[in-house]
Amino acid sequence: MHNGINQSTPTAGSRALLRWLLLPALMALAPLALAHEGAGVAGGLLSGLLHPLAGPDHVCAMVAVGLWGAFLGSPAIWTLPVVFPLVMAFGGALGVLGVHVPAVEIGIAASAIVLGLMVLCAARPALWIAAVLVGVFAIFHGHAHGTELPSAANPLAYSIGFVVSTGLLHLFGIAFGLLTRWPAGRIAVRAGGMLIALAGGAFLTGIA
Amino acid sequence: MTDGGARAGRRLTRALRRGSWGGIAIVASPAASAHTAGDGAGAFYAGLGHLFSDPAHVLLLLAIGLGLGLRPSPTARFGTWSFCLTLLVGLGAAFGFGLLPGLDRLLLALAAVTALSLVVVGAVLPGWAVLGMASLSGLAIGLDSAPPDGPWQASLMMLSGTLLGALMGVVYVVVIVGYFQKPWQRIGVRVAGSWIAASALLVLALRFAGV
Repeated sequence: MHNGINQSTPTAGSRALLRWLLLPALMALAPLALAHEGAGVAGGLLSGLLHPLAGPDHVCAMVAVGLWGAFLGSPAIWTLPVVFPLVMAFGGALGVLGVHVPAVEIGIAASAIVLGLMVLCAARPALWIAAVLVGVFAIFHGHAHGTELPSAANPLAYSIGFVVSTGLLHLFGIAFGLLTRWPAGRIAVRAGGMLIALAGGAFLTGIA
Repeated sequence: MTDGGARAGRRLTRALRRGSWGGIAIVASPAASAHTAGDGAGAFYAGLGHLFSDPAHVLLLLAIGLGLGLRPSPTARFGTWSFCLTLLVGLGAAFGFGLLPGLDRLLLALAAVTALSLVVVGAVLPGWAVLGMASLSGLAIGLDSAPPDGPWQASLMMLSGTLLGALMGVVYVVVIVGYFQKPWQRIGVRVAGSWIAASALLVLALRFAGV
C-alpha cells in the first residue's frame, strides 16, 4: 500500500537528521515541563486512559474488535479499529450533549457477546457488514463514556485519554489475533472469542 | 519516486538540518515562567506553551502534519509552505485585531475534517484540496493565537513562540511520517488519524455543551 507516496528509504544520514530534529524540539519543550503543574491536564489524561480499563465490559468489546479485525485480515484489520473510535466519538458526543440512547448497558454487554461469537464462529461477513456491526456497538460505548465526560476533572484531556486507551485495546486484540497464522493460534483466538462472549453473557445477566 | 522528487526530498532535509541549528540557537535562551506574559524569553515561552496546551491547536497540528506526511514530497513541501505562510498571515491579523470568538470550534471541526480526509481516507484527495486544507489550518491557528493585552514587544515575542512551535510541530510530524514507508507504519498513521478525528469530535461536543 504505497498510494503513490514518497518512495525514499531511510538511511544512516536520515536517521542522523531525525536526531538533529529531536534535539531542538526537546530543548524548546523542556521549560514547559517545569512551568505547568501536572494535576490538571496530566491528571485528566491519566483518568481518561484508565477509564476504559476499569470496565471489563468495555475491555472485552475493545479487544474483540481488534481480534475480529485481525481474524478477518486486511483491510478489516485496520478498518475496524478506525471505524470504532470515530463512531464511538459520535456516540460520546451524543452523551455529552445529553441525547438519550436507550439500553446503553445492554448494548455494551451485547457487543461483547456478538463480537465474541463472531470470532468464535470465525464469521467472515463482507467488510461493510462488519464495519456497520462494529459501528452500531461503538455508539453504545461512546455514549457511556460521553455521559461521564463533563464531570471529569479535565474533560478535554480525559476525552483524548480514553480515545487513545480504546485504540490501544484494539491493538492488543490485533496482536492477539495475529496468532491465527498458526493452527494452534487459530484455536486460541477462537477460544478467546468464546471467553469474551461468555463474559458478555455474564454482564448481560448480571452475574458479573 | 522520480529524480525530481528525490532532489526535492534532499533539499528539504538539508533545509531542516540548517533550520534545526537556528531552532537550537533560539531556544537556548534561559526560560522564565511560561505564564508570565512579560518581556523576552518569558513571553516567547508563553506563546509556545499556549500552543501546546490548547487541545484544538495540538489536534489540528497533528492532523495536518500526519496528512501532509502521507503525501508525496512535492505536495508535502508545498503544503508545509502554505501552512507557514498562512500561519504568518493569521498571526499578523491576530496581532492587529486581537482574538476572534468561536475560533476554537472551527479549529476542532477543521482537525476532525483534516484527520478524516487527509489521514484516514488517504491519497484520494487532489493536491489543491490538500494545499487548501493546509492553508486554512495555518490561518486558523494563527488567528486563534492572539496575545493578551500588554506591551507590543511582549505580544510580538509571544507570537514568535507560537510561530516557532507551530512550525516545529508540523514540520517534525511531516518529516517523521515521511519516513514511514512500510504498509503497517502507514496503517498506524491512519489509525492515529482516526484517534485525532475522534478526539476532536469529542472536544467539539464538549465546547458546544459549554464544558
